[in-house]
Order: sequence, then C-alpha cells, then structure tokens
Amino acid sequence: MNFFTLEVRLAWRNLWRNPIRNFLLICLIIIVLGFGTYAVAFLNGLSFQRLQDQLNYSLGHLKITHPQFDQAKNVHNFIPNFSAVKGVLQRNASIEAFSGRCNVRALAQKNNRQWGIDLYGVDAKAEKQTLQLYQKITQGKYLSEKSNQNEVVIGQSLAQKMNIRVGDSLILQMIDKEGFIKTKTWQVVGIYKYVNQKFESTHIFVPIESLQKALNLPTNAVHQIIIRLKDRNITDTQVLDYQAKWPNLKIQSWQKTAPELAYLDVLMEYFFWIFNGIILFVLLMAIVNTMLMNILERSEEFGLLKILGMNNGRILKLIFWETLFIVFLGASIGLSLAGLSIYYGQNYGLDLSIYSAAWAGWGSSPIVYPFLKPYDLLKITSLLISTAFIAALYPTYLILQKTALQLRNSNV
Amino acid sequence: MSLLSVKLAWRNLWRNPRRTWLTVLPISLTIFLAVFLHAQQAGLENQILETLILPNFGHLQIQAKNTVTQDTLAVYLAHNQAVKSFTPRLENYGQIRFKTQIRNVALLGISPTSEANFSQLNEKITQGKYLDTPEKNQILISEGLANQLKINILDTIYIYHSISEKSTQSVCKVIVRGFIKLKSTEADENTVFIPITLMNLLFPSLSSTYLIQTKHSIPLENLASEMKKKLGTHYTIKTWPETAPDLAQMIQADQTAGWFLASIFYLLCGFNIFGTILMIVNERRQELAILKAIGMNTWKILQMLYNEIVMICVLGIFIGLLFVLPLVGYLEASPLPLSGVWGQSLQNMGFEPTLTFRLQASAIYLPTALMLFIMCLSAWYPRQIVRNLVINETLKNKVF
Repeated sequence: MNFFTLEVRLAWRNLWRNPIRNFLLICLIIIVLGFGTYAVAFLNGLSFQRLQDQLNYSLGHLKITHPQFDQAKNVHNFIPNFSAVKGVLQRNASIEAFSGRCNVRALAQKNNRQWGIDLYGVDAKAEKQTLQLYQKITQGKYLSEKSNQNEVVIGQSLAQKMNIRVGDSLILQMIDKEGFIKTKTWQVVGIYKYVNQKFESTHIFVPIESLQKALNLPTNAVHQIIIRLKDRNITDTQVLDYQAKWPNLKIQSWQKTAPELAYLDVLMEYFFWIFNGIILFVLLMAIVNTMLMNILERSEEFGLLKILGMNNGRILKLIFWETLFIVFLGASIGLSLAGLSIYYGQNYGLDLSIYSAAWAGWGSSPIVYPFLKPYDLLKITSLLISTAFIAALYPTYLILQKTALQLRNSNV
Repeated sequence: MSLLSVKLAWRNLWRNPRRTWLTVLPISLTIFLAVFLHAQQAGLENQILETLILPNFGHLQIQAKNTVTQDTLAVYLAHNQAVKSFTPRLENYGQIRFKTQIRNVALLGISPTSEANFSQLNEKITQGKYLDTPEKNQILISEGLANQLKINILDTIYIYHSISEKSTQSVCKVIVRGFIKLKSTEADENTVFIPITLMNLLFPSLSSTYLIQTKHSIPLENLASEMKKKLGTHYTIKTWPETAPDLAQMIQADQTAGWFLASIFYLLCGFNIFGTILMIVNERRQELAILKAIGMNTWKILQMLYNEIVMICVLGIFIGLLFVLPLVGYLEASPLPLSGVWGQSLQNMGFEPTLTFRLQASAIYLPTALMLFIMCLSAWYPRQIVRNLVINETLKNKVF
C-alpha cells in the first residue's frame, strides 16, 4: 500500500495554503517543547549533581553504626567488633572502599566564644579512598597518612567565623568515655571549601588515633563505617545482606540517612508533570484555536469534498494528518534545538555561580550539566501528540456532524 | 473615536462567538495562571521573611563591638522611628549537664519580654511555662533535647561556663521552666534558651546582637546606611540579605524561575492573540474591501478592528481576574496544607508545610500591562493588511 495516500498528500498541501498561521503554530510548538524539554533536562542535571556531590563528599552509599548511635553521638556507642566487620567488608568484591570513623560532638573555642561542631576522627588513607572531600582542600593540605598527628582540617565557613588560618591552633572540647570534659589542641593543616555552608561550618576532621586517645577509647573503636559501593544501584540488597549478618548493628542506606535526597527524585517527577501540564494546557488552547480556524474557514471546501465522495473516515484522516504534520514539524525542530543546547550544556556545563549562595544552601556545585532521562523524551512527545489530537477532535466533530449541503451553504 | 466603530466592533465580536470565546479564554487563562503564580511566589517570599528571616536574623542586625557601648544602642533603638520592635540576643555554644549526662548545646540568650514581642517565643511553649520577669535562673529547652536527655519540667541543670579567659570552667545551676518546639530538627535537638541577663553573667566578654524589625515603608539599605552614619564605627550593622545570603538568593532564584514560567505563558498567549487578529482580518478581507469601496477610510476600518481587539483583551483580562482574585483572596486567608513529599521537604527547610499566597498590586497590574503590551504589538498586522488592500482584486478573489 502506498504510504502517501491522497489524504496524506492533501494534508501536506493544505499546510502551505495558509503558511503564516501554521507557521505561527509550529513556532509555538517549537518554543514550548524546546523550553519544556530543556527545563526538564536542567532540573535533572541539578538534582543529579546534588545527589552525586552529597554521595561523593559526605554520605557514601552505606553507613554502619551502633544501633543506639543517634544525633546525640554518645561516645559509648561505638561498633563493638570493628576488626571482624572490617575483615568481612574487605572480602566483599562489590565494595569499592570503606572508612571507619570516630564521630563525636565537640566545641571549638576561641576568645571565650564557642562553636558547636561535628568532630570526625578518620584514617586518612581509607577516608581518601571512600570520600573525595580531600579534593576540596583550598588552603594547606589534607591530613597526612602518618598516624597520631595533631592535625585538623576545617571548613572555610568555620575558619571565617572563628578567624583562624592554616598553621593556627584550634582548641576543641569534648566529652570523653568516662564522661569528663576534655580539652585538646590541634593544629590546622588544611581548609576545605565544600558547596554546602552548613557542612563547612560544622564538619572538622582529625586523625583517628589522636581522637581515640583523647576520648580514652580503645584503638579499634569506631562509631561509623562509611561504605562506597562500586555500583550505587545495589545499595538496598547490600543493606539487607549485612543487616542479616549483623543484627546488632544499624545499617543504613544513603536514602535512609538523607531522606531529602531520596525524595528529590519524586519531587522532580511532580514538578515535571505540573510544569509540562500547565504549559501543554495553554498550548492546547492555542492549537484548538488554530485548528478551529483552519477547519471552519474551509467548511465549504469540506462540503465539496463530501459531494465528490469523500466519506467521514477519510476527512477525519485528512484532518489528523494535518495536525500530525504541524506537530511533527514543530516537535522535530523544537526537540533538536533543545537537544543541541542540552548537548552544549553537557559538554561545557551551565555556570550558575551568580546564584552560588543559593546553591550552596541547596548543597550542589554551581555548575549544572543538564541531561534527559530515558523516558523523558517519550513522555514529553507523547504528551504533546495527545494534546494535539485532543485539540483536533472538536473542530473535526463540528465538520463531521454536518451534511455536505449544510457545509456548502454555511457562511464563514 | 466614533460610536459607530465601537458598535460595529461589538457586533462583529458576536457574529462568531465561538472564535471570540476561544481567544478570550486563553487570555483569561494566562491572566489567571500569571496572577496565581505571582501571588504564590509573593506568598513564599513572605513566608520565608516572616517565619525564617525575621525571627532568626531580624530585618537588621546591630552588634556593638565592645560590651560598654551596648546600653546606648538600646536607648538609640527605642527612640528610632523606623524601628518597629527589637530584641537583644547572645548566642554561644556550651555544655550542659543533667544528672550524669553532658551535652554540647547552643545557648541562646534572650530577653523574655522583648523576645515574646519580637518572635512570639512564648507561643511556642509546648509544656511548662515561659520565662518569668524579673529573670531568675530559669531556662527553656527545646523539646527534642528534653526527650533525648529525659528532662522534666522543674529539673535542675548545670551550665558550664568560664568567668574569665584563663579560669577553668565553673558551673551555674538553673531550673528548666518549659519546653519549646523548634521547627528545624537539628535546632530542636540542641537549643537552650537562657535569660540574657544570666547569659551576660556567664560570658561577660561577649556582646549581644540586636535584631530589629523595621517598619515596611522604609527601604532597608537606606535605613542601614543612615544608622551607620549615626552610630559610627563602634557598631556593625547588617541587613538580612547580608546575614542570610543563601535565603536571599534562594528567593531570587525562585523569582527567576517564576518569571521563566510566566514568560512562557505570555508568549503562548501572545501567539494566540496574534492568531486571532490574523483570523479577524484575513477571513473578512472581502468585507473590509467592500467597506473600503463604499467609502470608509483606512483609519476608520482600523478603528473598528482595534476596538474589537481591545474588547477581546479587556474581556479576557476581566474574566481572568474575576476568577483568580476571589480564589487567591480565599487562599491567602486559609493557606493550603501540603502533605506528602512536598510538605516533608518544606518542613525540612524549616517552613510550615503549607502553600501560602499573598496578593500584591504588582501581581495584578504586571500581567495586565503585559497583555495589553502584547496586544499593541500585534496591532501592527491589521494596519499593514488594511492599508495594502486592493479593492478590485480582493473582491474578485473569492476565497473558495
């Protein structure tokens, strides 16, 4: 069967009988679809960036803690059998790296003013393999891999607030295992700058041995183990595996430790439908308007076609083909424009640093790389096509319900 | 403008009512969505200002550089016409001990009377009572902290502090007077409210910060620079965008996003208006040619067409406003509660989980003015057509 049936050819020619109006509609579709697609890609990029940053710099994929280790960060609640756990983790091939850390709440002191901070004792070598915060050092250097140094790495925000620099000493006050207040001085060796200001002003890092000693903890006592998996998608199965193996430990996936990150995806999905829904609704009006004019203005012509023997089915086909052509032209140009700019964005990134403080609160880098998820394009395109057909239904109905004579006599 | 052209235009509109409504409705819809969007944005901005910025940072913050100049500041503020209310705060971190447990907490020194006035702290008490005046050794603690340490009302707590730079720590005995529920989970787990007089005794070398609520009529920057001039170099003055730059830019980013969405609406609507004008003119070429032939001049014909366009736009705007204003007005009075993911994420950011609205005059006249502007832009097309209309040719060429 010939694809280019009479209806298809007629529809194509009809398009160019009133080029201005059809051209306008095509432009409209280009703009709407282009903007819509780009906005979706941009938001995808934004949320992906944020997730990636948080997982790489602060969260890891899995976290193992003592079951009672909570926000209070009580020093007693360390993992009892770290050596055994360590052995098992080392043998697991799907784990890329892991880092055991001591973690307590502490106070930083200067001139009688105190700042509440989150103190982490880390093993520099394991920590570097697990999280990439060491890449964010802007002044000085990261903790050295030699053990038991009095080194500390702090965030830029805290450094500014306390007015201290690399080389200065930092007095920290914490509560040790026996419940006594203990003061210890560390030497600032490095300052890191991470996009999240809140993180920056609270998280500080010291070598694990020195902290264990200060807190009177045994040498293999850690409060949390951060695990980085080779593949993020197996997080849930790993959680179940280890929970079964160690029922007396708390094992949490990143979705659990940072629920707001986990439902970011859901939020974006909502936004996708609201944003595109509103835009397409307004577009629907525009298409109905144009198609109605397109068709009603030719009602005499349709009357003639009917007299010549074209049945309702073929008229329906004719109108649908016209709609399809318009949508197809608009969509292909709009999508390719959006595609080009997304491609550009992927390679060069969109610099949003004018809003950097806002992104800093939001916790991601100011450079966004937009991208489309596999079904996004399909969703947008099918939404658009169904919108177009819904829009074509009403004018078609008006034409089909009238007889040929009525159409011939109708005055525009 | 003659009455005739208005009459003709009005009749023309209702010769093909379907087409008229099809143009009027998108205009109404655009106005509806634009006003709705702007009102929602203003609502969010207002919510950020009222619930996050004002109680936590104040519109302005003034800090004396040393403790001596502190009292003159209070006197100055009390007599300043532009200041609506103010309250001193002194924040520090420290340790508290309850029975055998020691915790690091944020100590927030407040003045009970002015704080109640400024941030309505007294209304956030969930258990027990608010601080008495004159102040005694009483504190309020956040509910999350109380639950974790299992503290009850009227329990005794010790606060560690140091009298001078060099001395070792000493303790101060206080009584828990009430619990306060704070919105942010983190703050709820480690905040202690202490009368500022006691705080000054505990940390004598620290000077307090004054949070100021200004009257809305005066621009913040002007007020800040005026105060800087008056107060001199002994004080640091900061406006809220300086103390909370991330929130200020979040508002800005939200506004940009809102304008992006709104401009798509306007664009769509502009195309729609233009499409209709195209139709109004094109399908009536013959009719216009006849009018021209029987002696109506170009300007008169244009007047008639323009009247039609203006009527359509005004009708559209009117209908849009007719629906959106009562809706937004209602929502402003009773905000929509949000549940599920949206609500949760707002709560995490420290907001009420509601969708609030605020109707400002600009939310109405901006979209309206823009629609009228688009209308004026598209008025160019009929002018070209009518001017270049060749009567003979047009009359001969029946469309079909």
